[in-house]
Formats: sequence, structure tokens, C-alpha cells
Amino acid sequence: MPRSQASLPLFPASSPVAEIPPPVPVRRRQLWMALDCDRLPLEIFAAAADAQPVAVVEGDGSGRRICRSNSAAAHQGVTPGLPLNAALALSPQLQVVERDPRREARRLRRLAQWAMRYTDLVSLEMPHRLLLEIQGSLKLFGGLDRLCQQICTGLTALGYSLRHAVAPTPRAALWLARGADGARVTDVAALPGALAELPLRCTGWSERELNMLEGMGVQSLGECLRLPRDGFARRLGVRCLADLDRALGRVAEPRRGVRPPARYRGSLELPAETFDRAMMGQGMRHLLDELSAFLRHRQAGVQQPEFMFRHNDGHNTRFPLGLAEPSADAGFLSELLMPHLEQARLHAPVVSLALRSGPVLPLPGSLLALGLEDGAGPRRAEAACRLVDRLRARLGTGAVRGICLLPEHRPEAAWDYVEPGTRGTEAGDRARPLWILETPRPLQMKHRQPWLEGPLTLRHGPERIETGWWDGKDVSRDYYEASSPGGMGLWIFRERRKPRRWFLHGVFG
Amino acid sequence: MKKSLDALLADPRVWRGRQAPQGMRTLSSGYRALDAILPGGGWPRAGLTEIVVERWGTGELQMIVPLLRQLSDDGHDEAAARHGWIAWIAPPYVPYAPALATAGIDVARLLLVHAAIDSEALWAAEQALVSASCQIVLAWARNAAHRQLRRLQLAAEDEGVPCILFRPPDALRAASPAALKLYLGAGANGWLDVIKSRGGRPASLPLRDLFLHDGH
Repeated sequence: MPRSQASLPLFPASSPVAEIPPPVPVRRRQLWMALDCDRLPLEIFAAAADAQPVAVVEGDGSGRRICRSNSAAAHQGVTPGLPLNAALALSPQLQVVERDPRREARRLRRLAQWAMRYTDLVSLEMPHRLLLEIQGSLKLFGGLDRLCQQICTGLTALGYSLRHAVAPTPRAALWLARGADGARVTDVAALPGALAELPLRCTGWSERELNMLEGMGVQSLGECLRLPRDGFARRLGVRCLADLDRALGRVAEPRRGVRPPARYRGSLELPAETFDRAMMGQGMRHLLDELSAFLRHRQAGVQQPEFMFRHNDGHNTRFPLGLAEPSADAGFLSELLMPHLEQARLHAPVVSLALRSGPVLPLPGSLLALGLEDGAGPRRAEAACRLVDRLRARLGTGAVRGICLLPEHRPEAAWDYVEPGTRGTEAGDRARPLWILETPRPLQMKHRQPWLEGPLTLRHGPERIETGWWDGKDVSRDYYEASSPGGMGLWIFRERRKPRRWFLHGVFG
Repeated sequence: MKKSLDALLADPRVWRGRQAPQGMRTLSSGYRALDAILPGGGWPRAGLTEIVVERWGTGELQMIVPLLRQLSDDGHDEAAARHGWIAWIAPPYVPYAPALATAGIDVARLLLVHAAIDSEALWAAEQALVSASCQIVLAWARNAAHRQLRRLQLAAEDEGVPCILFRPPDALRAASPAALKLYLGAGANGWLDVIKSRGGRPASLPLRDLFLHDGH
């Protein structure tokens, strides 16, 4: 917190702080649940649950102190705040880990994501607290008690210990979680009474502020609330006063919600370095299930997910997928990935798996291009896309294509490859062969006649095509329908400029 | 008893002497002369048709264009719900979109699949048949084991999808599980032979007659 506010010099007598602010107009009743994962610095380490004493330390040099310790360490007297040397004296086999605030923040964000299954407004209170606005979720989850229970059991099952409280304002919920674990206050009017008993330390104010209050003989929040406002503001600064006002709901405290991440990124450490594809397959299924849950929440799908092996030598093997249409179906994605997994050549053992969603896209309603709107349509449209994906998974993306017409007179430019199912608007062209060569093939000349397994007989023509001067690929050709001695119907042309060569361009088929 | 016997006999897989199977569902080829020599009066509605082509580009595609057109605008009968891909698997050239569009074929439904080897092409054809998303599957393959053809025939029959497989002349002598096998002879006077058909008779037709009497 910036200290500048606290040291603002003046508060004139007419200062607005002297007045109790008018009650905040109630726009919508809110109910906040605070989750205090106080032991997060320790719990981010897998060793925290061990029977061996483990402690997280913070600070530099001789100022290194215990930040959190597991129960085995606490049993030996290693408690937060203890200097590291003293702790090591108490518990010689103490395993010491450096505190990792960045990892804590990451983990807290992940917990916030997890909590979003209960409400769409989850706010972070760094370093290790979460606020959930649950008023709107009460009905869905069967009332306050059941919701709280569900959230707490869920977090405990994930391996986190927590304290929690519910209050109509976020600040009060945070304070109550610290000082009165499990408190539930649903009415703003009951707040002053509920907060009165809390020790001042719950507020998270600085040591200086707490010492000052202690010097004034103030022990609890209740006593704090009885102090005159202007005097309180003058001595402790507006920040503390504002905190009190927010806690009591006199001043609104808008909270910024966590935004769900745009993309999914999951990874999974394998139990051991391995070449075992069955184990990797299981891991892949697990990640795909996670991805599927992530997508279901957003009613979205992925089109270009990427699956990855991380090898023990630091290299990655990537398996990008390209789907014809977004999908959120873990079973289908797994079906597409499985052949890659089975065919992959593994040059080194795999240590972990990773899955990235790529862009998250809305799930398609139907494939309009195929005219599949009615009746069995949606299912068939899905089947149509799945066929494309299945073929591409084995033959490659470029091997499965559609074609369309382009508004162009040059025969080779009058069509192009497109995504299957793309509908164009152009009309067809008369007297054209059913087969086209992607690039015209020069024809041999024998006895001054175009030749393909024999002399070609011209049947119709010429049709003159002269165009394209604007893009430098201009053509000037005379096209003929010809037939070979073998009976093939051919579409050939002769350049109108020198060297006036003959080319095969299509087959009538 | 009689009923179940009828049901059994109506099954297109039951071969009954010289008679064309009752109720064998076919699709008109769009050519009167061709319909006349095909058993049941057209292309099999479900099942494998093998067309052995002596030389690519002598009319094999022209022969099925009316069929593709018919599948493209089958908008109003029970087939409406069946709209889906017209799959082209491993064709020898690229089908030319402007010509297909002129012929009345819905180009947007074309699914072109490139396969480097025959086994992949046959695999893709089978996938297309069982995907329940294709109206017809056209495939080109040089080598195909009897077992692979049989799989295609069964898949096409079970799914009720026509599958037309174009083969080079080496395939003429091999036994085929296909419901219909034709031979398209090249040369100045091309002709079409019915090599094998369920309940049909061997027949032959000069190509000149076929395309001259274009029924549509």
C-alpha cells in the first residue's frame, strides 16, 4: 500500500471524513465469500504433506525467517516468524524451501479459475485470498450452507487448507475469515456486531498503525468503531477509515473479477520418465477431459489444439491438430490424437505431457454450406466434419480439400482449392472438360501435329481466351477439343504468341 | 413363413438365378441406353460398383455425371435428409469445378481426398462410406485386394451408400465382390461391357450409342 495517503497533512474540520457517509444505495444485494488460503506458500510444494518437517523461509541473509511450516515442523516448535537459525536448532532435519511468490500467485489464479464454477465473479486478494460473490449462486447450489460446504470440501480435496467467511461486503468477509473462521453474516445491519469482536490484526493494517491503535488502548475492531471519525482519520489516515467504511458497507468496494483465460494450457507430470505409451495415453485423456470441461463452461470448441510430449533432454515433440470445425468432445479429440501418439518416434523418455487449446471458438450450430439445416441435419453436419478430421488426421491436412469456382476467364484461374464445404457464388462455364491439369502440360509435336500416344484430331475450336494482362500472367490461347487415337477426349490449346507451343490442359473424361 | 421368406428373397444379397432381385433399389443413370443394360434399371443404390477403365478420360466420368447431378438436387424426396459429401478419393486429375457446375453438380459438396498409396485410398473410401455423411463415394485405385473390396462392398451396402470404384485394366480378370462390374473399352469405337451383375446378364453397349441417346 502506498504510504503517501496516510501521511496527507491536513484534514480540515469540514472534511467529508467527519461525516458518516450516507448509506450506499443498494443496487443489488451482494454476498461475499472470502477464502483465505493462508498456508498457500507451503502448500504449493508437494513435500508439504510429508511426515518430514518442512518449512518455507523468506527474507535475506541473517533476516531469514520461517514463513510457514508443516505440521511435523510445527510439532517441533518451528512456527512462522522464527529465525531460520533458531528453527534449525529446534529441528536439525528440517527441510527448508525458499518462498516462491510468483508460483503462489499462479496457483492462486488457478484456484480462482477453479472457483469460477460456482460464480462468475471471483476476485483475487493477493497474496493468498479469494473473494467470491455468491448471492446469485445460492439457489443453484442449494442454499448458503451447502454452497459453502461444497466449496470448502472441494478445496480441501485439492489439498489446500483454508479459512472462510461470508459477509455482505468483501472487506468484512476477508476480515471475518481471518478472525472468525466459518462466520456467516448475511445482513448489513448485523455487520458492526459481528466485526466488533475481531482482533485488529485481521484488518491487515501495517505494524505502525496497529501499534498506534494499541497505544491508544484499542484492542478490537468494536473499540475502533467507537472512536470519533475525524480523530481516527487524522491519526491513522483516510485509508484505515475507508477500510472501516467499506467493511461496514458505508462505502462501496468495487471488486475486479478474474477474467477466465482465453485459452487452455494444461500440463501433466508423468509419475516417471517413460516410453510407455499406455501411460501417455491415459495422461492425454486426462488433459483432454480437462480441456473439455474448460470448453463446456464457455460453450466453445477448439480447432487447432496442440498436444506435446516433453522429453527428459529438454526437447518437445508436438502434435498439432487441425479440425474442420471447432469441437469440445474429448473422446473425438482423443480418437484423432491416438494414431499420432502410437506412430510417434520417441527419441528420449517422456517426462511430462502438455496440451494447449489454441484459439477458443464458438461451437458451430450447423454446417450451412452442406444444406443440412433440417431434420437429421445437425447430426449429419457433425458427421461430415468428423469425416474430414478423421481423413486429415491420417492423410494430412492438405490431402483433404474442396474446390470452388472463381470469377475468372483464364481456365487455370477459374477454380481453386478451398476448405471442404465452402460455397461459392459463381456459375459454371460452358464446354469445359471434367478434369483439369493443375498446370498445362506441353505436348509433343510429330509431323507438325500435336501428339499424345498418336496424332490428336481436333474436333471443335478454336475458342480464343485472351485475358489477364492486368496481373502480368496474361494468356493468349486458342483452345480446341481434340481426341486421341485411344479415344480420350482432350482439351488442348496453342499459344498465340511465339513459340506457339501446344499444351494439354484438360481431359473430358 | 411366407413373409419371412419374401423378406429373405427381397434382400439384394440373395442371388436368384436370372431374375433381377426384387426391390433392388437403383438410381437411374440418366442414359436410357445404359439403364437398359444395368440390372434393376440403373446404378445400385447401395453397394460397390467397379468400373474397369482401359484408358482414363474416355467417358468414365461423363457416364456418372447425370448420377451426380441427380444426387445434387435430390432436394425434395426422402433423400433430402441424406445430403452430404460427394467424395472423390484419389482421382487421377483434378475435377474441373466450372465444368461440374455447368453439369448441375453442387461443387460445394465435393470432398477431394488425395491419397499417396492405394491402401490409403481404400481406407479413406471405407471411412467415407461408414461416416454417414456421404451421398456417394467415388474412388480410384490401381491395386486392391479382394478382402479390401469386400470391406467396401459391405460398408456401402450396410450404410446404403453407392460407391463407385474406378480401376485400371489389370483389374479386369480379378474376381470381384462388387454388386456391379463394368468395363469401359477405349479406342475410336469405345464400348461398355457389363462384366458382372447380380441377377443381370452380360451385356455390351457401344459408347457412341450411350452418349448419343442422352436421356436428359
